[in-house]
Amino acid sequence: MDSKRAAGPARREEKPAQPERCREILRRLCAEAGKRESSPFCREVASHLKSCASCRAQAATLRGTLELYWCLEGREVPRAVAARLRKSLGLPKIACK
Amino acid sequence: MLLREAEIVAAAQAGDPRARERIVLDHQKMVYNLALRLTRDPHEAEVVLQETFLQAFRSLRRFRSGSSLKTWIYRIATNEALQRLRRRRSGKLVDLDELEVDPAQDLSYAARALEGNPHQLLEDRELKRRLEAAIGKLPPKHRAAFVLVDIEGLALKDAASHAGTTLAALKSDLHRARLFLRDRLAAYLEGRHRD
Repeated sequence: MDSKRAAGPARREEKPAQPERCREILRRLCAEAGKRESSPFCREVASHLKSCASCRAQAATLRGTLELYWCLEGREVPRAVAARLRKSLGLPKIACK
Repeated sequence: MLLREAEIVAAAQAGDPRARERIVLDHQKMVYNLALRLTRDPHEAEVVLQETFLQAFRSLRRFRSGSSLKTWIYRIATNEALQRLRRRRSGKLVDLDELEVDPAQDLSYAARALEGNPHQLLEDRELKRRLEAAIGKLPPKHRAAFVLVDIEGLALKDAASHAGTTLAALKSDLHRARLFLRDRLAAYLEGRHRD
């Protein structure tokens, strides 16, 4: 991994690139999300992230992407769609107020 | 199940149209949005919406009190949407089975750009459009994993059960879906920055 190009100010001395190690950490980070922070897995990930700017950028962009998707709001059911649904179910029409 | 919900279900089971109407009004938005996210097609989403409630009312007598009506309807809707998603053939989907992390990928700009408030970022309409479009590029199994876990908030085990797959397979699909969506987003943010 190229830590020279990584995001944010260096908090401590960066370790040399370890592509395979980073790949494995990230694979597990993504797949195992939801573990307790105190678990050995999360401590291991946190420790690695502290010393690897590239993985920090990977993690930050994944988290940022998920946050954007979480914030996409659901749509209201269009009136015409709702009307056809009621008709298909044999429910009475709703009178407009 | 709440007492009020139990009363509504009992009335609907007895054929009360007002109770059925209440069930539809309380759950139609959830079903429609789930269907829209999974199928990415308003027409298909409408069919899923209708089929879900038709099926729910047909089998309402089998609904057991003590269960959650929302969960029960949700499961019917998920099954219906996933069946349609799998049946549909599209040439525009990407193949994600070989997608892996590129350790040399420079994500520094995207990481900084995504530090902001997501609601503010979503004021960029083109960004919003691209986020929506990117889900549509996901193959069915990856889309199902992403929608069920990351948007709908299901636990991994429940999502695997809904999607009819193993936990290990779901995790793998979810991982690749997230990477693909992140890469699409990062590419857009980088391009916007350069322009």
